[in-house]
Amino acid sequence: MVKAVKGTFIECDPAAREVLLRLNSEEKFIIEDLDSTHLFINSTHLERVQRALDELMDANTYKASNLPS
Amino acid sequence: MAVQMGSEEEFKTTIAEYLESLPTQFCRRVFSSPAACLAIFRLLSTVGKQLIMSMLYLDAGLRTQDVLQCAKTEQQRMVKAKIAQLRRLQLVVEERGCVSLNPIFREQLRNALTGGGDFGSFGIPYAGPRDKRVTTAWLARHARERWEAILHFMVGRSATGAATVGEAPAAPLSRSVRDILRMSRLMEGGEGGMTITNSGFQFLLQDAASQVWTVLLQYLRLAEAQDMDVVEVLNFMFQLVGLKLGRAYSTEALTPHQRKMLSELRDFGLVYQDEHDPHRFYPTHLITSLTSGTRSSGAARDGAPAQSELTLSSDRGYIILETNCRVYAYTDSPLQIAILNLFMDMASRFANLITGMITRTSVRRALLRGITADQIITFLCTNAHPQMQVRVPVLPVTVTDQIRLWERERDRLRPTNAHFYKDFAQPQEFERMFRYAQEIGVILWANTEKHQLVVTRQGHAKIVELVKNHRALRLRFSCRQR
Amino acid sequence: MAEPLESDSSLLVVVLDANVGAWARSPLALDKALQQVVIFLNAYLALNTENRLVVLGATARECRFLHPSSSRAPEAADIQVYEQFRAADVRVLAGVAALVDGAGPDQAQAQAQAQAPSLISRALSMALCHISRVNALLTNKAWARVLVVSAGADSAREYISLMNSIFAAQKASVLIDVCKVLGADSVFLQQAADITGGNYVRVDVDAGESLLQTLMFTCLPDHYTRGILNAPYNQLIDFRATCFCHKRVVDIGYVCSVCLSIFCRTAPVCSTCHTKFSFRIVGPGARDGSSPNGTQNTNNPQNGSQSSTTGTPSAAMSSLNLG
Repeated sequence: MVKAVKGTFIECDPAAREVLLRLNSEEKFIIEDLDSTHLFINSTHLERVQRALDELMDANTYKASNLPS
Repeated sequence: MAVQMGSEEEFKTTIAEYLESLPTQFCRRVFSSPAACLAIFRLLSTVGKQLIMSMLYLDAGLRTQDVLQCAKTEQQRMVKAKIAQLRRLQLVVEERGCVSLNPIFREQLRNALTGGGDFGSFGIPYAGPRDKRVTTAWLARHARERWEAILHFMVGRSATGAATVGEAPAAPLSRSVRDILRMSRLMEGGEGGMTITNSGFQFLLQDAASQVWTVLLQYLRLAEAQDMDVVEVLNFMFQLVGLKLGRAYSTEALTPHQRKMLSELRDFGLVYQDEHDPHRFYPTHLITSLTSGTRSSGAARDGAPAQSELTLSSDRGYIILETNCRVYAYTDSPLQIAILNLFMDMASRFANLITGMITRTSVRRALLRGITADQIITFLCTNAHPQMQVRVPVLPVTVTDQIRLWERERDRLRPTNAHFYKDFAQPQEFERMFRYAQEIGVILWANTEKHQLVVTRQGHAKIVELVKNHRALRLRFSCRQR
Repeated sequence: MAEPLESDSSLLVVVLDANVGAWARSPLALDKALQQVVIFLNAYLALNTENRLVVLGATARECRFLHPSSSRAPEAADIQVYEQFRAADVRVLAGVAALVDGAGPDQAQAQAQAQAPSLISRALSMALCHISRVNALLTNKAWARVLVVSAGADSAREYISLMNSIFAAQKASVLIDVCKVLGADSVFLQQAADITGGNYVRVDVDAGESLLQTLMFTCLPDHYTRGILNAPYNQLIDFRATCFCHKRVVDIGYVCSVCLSIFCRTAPVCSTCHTKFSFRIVGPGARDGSSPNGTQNTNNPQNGSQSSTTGTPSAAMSSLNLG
């Protein structure tokens, strides 16, 4: 019997997908892991996931020390 | 420049969209004034204007085919789209393969050109003695002060915006101004505690003409909400747009609604009216320059007030951007400093100069507020120092690319609302659905081996329809919503 | 030269032929025509608030800037008309009236002048000068074009100066539109439109064609729009030139090989550059050598007639088929 699930389809790069998989281990939100660049997730978690990903990516960016004065 | 024109176009289309949404009877009444016809005409695209002018003095309609033949072969599709747009605006009627102008519009536009028709459509000049104080330059300064007070009010309410600037809060704004700011979602929150929204930040970075259009559109919505006659408001608005800068006009013949509108637009600095002399008013450049494609790159103009006078607060461009992302801005205006502060880190401030740097953090801060990279780049480009304006391209490519890259960085996920199908009972069932979805072009992702399918939300509705039609085939289908 | 953009403003210089004599023979009276032209000017101003307009009036005696002019437009209480339009309209109408009246007092002189064609070439040069001055002042260039509303006939005297103006316009990428209201086709103005890429239209008022409609249709589009629309169909253009010596339109003439002046008959000395032609018949195989009279060309067979058919290397005065 065919099942239809409502949610959000995500297209991303493999790196971002790994992050999402890790976040998923903390709190489940991925409905289906489609392939290396596509995921299907619960719509209600989208905003939280986006923010979490953004923070994580920001934390992993090299920052030059402040303006040389 | 191209980018800037783009943003302007966008706002013109919004007023066009508003006109498109008006019912036919309303349009007929709007078109009954030559001033309105002229103002609408000026908002059209160049090709649209030419089409209208070609037909203006033709009594019979033109065959659509013939009109298209006038255009070069590769441009015909574009001309066709323009005709369709004119039709949506109800300026032309198209029937039996012929296009002709809307008769009312034609008559009134002719009147606008020849000076006939409705008495005083272009405003009635004030006959009394002149007020020596009110000159074009004075009006420009007045309008600028008013307008900047509003912008400053908006920035002043942003938590980070005013903190570094440390200026006194702007003068209290009138109720109607605050209503409009709230209606347009540029600001939110109740009395006393209004805060700027993301669209408010975007608004700040636009050029003055776009900002005025936004406000006027909101005013129309507000008028609708207050059960004012929209057509009366529109016509008066278009009349104001057609007035001459620096001339006094009489309020004698205005209706009570129009007087009310005048007093509200006064708060925005779009018109000037002396409190002690309610019989006359002066339009300011903010409203009279609306139908011209105002460009901020100081063009020398003979006769008319210099373009530089019309740009807000800065006489000319004042920003210098270096390839290493450093910014030097020659300004002492708290408003401009606050706007710059939206997307750059301030380093030092002098009497007439501030220095700072565009950094990843500062751009991210702007992006988080919903400001786009293009808006930042357009803003920098428009306000670039004359020494930078002469260069091509105006801004260093390294910096613009970097800002765009920072924007892309935040855009790691591309989400789409969708439905996911799995566990098909039979392969044929999957095949059928897959083929149907392919036909109507709604597939986002599919795996033919695992028999899984992701379709758009609109596609889902259509597929449900298909399934219903195939009930006879005893397809059992469950739609579980999560 | 950059491509014109949709947002670019234009600069239109209208050269108005206000020759009373010519208009008197027209089925369309001058004042009627003027009204239509004024509507067209308003339409042009309506297109874009940054559009600039200059109107020149030309008669047989003088050319004058009608708009903008130093004379202040009266602050008339005519509130029916859009401000921007009124200033132009009032000046143009008043200016033409002044031009026409100026020809009035001396009847005999006026009679003589009425027969003479208007000084179109002078007006064109004034227009081009104005355009180049305006563009030198502007930071963002305005796309300029000239519209000649012509009523009179060609004046052969004007050929050289007219041609010079035309080539100057071509070089400055200024379009010249020509609207011929009455009389025969103007050979010179046809060439002006063709060389500069403008439109030449002839309005046949007798056949019920409207001057205004023609202007709106063919002369209103700016540089940008002309890239989109097809140019109106142009009939064959008469490319014949006028000789420099007798100002006659010639089918076949002689051309000075140094300065390209055109003559209808042979002459020993070019009247333009004072080159002395050598009419010495040189047989085949003669050595190219020093020229006795200083021109670069030494060979000139058959006394200058039909030399192009003889196949000699060059000729001091060659005939040119101009048809």
